Amino acid sequence: MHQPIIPGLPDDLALRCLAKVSHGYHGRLEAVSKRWKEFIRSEEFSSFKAREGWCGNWLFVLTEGSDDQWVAYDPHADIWHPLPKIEREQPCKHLGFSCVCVGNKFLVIGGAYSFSDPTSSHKKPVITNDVFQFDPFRKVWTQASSMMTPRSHFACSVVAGKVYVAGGRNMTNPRGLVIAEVYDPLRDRWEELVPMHLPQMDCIGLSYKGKFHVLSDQVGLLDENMSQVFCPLSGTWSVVQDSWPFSRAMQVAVQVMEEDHIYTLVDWGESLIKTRDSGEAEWYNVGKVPPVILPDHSRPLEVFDYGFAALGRELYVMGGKVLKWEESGAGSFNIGKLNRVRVCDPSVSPLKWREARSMCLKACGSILGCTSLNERSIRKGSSFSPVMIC
Amino acid sequence: MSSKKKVITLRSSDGEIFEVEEAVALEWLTIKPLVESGCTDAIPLPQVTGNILAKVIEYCKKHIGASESEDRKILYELESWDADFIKVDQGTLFDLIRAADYLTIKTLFEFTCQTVADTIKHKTIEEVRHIFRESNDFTPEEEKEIRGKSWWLQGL
Repeated sequence: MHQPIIPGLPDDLALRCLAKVSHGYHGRLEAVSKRWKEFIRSEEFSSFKAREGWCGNWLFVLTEGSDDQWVAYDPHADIWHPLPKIEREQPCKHLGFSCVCVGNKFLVIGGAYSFSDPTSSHKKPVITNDVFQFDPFRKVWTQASSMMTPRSHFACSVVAGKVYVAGGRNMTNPRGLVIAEVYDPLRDRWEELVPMHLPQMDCIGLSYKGKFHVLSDQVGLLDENMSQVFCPLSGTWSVVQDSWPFSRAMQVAVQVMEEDHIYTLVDWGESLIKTRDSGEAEWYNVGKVPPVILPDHSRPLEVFDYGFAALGRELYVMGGKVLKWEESGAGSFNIGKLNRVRVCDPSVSPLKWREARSMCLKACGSILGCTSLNERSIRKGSSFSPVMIC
Repeated sequence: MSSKKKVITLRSSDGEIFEVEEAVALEWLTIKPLVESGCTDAIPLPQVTGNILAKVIEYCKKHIGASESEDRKILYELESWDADFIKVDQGTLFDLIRAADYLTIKTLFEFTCQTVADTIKHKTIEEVRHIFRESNDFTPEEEKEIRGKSWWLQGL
């Protein structure tokens, strides 16, 4: 005898109701019964959500503390949960990759695998062209088409529904690449672009006003820096002199929010968030990322190496580290790894920060990668996507 | 021409007669063709009882025009009105979902389905089982493994 999923509702309506439960609660739904667990994991459930475009909003974060294990945040539920682990041939640390969201997929692109296992055949880090994609509906990782050129520490961003990558380095080009590529998620295909004018090795990618910007790693050291800009319409690169105040020590330094509002972090001493008016060279302060007060420490501490991501209309600051002076014995500096998450709306002045739930599992410390997936922007088919570089 | 708004007559499954403005009835996609054809007889709705139909009409009258408003105050008021409106028992909520599905009323359908989804919030697994009359069929070992996953319990 068929037992309805929810007594009192036909199954097609029960499906609709449960499909509206956001991903942060799915763990709880799966814990109700074997039947519900099967249902939540069924093809019927995920393909229904995919058809409706109900992926929900996500933050994806990889930290140094979490051992190649991505965690995800559901802002609607204020809940963190782990993603399944990416299948690797052997355990490794993944660094120097880029991650972006495009067309209802979360992509982790390229980077370097370093192997700590002494019995491993690889002693040196391996720079890869692998692309892994996470499907927020089925909640599984699959491998997508690989980039043509293996690269780490490169620029990457989404412009008009396609993923652009440029620069970085690999074994044959340790001093920087000029090669750029574009990925079409609908066809799962990479194509080479015309090369950049100059090689770039540690660079940041940015989607701004319909163009792909590759920002130099010399940023912050000079008043005027050079960036290379690719225009998808003309298919050409141009070199632009501009000033970018962010410091190169940051893993994630620039975020573009809806309507091309741009925010950057400057962490010389204290952490400042800066913005600029559209088209103007001048940057001005929005506010600062406040220092943290730890229960076992008397003074407020500046946080560094934290993650920075835009989700909806808010900016998230996640994890990071603090330097603590320990009085015991002769005294020494210790590094404290944080799992806390703070959020503000940058359009509200002065900035009002609120504490969101701390990251789950062992996720803490330096952020190796983070990005956000926004349900509404996907529906609109907007090209908006936050940017990050590792 | 009469300035009086055109009224549509509806008959519930238990024979109750309701009158609604044409503009409201046009939002109900299932009966829209009948309304547009100028039908003057009472439209029979054999799957909706009178008390549920009264609730559906109440919701649609309140929402017509207001949902599209960009006035924050109106939207805020509408939201709190909705919150009061949906304070019903589970049986009534499910009947409203069925009625909104049968009559194809998008706003009410989305809202009622979301209300069911939201009942999961801040509920323990036992509470969810109780609300949806779902029995725990995990073995003690499986149950123990579930308990070990602390992130499932965030927000409780």
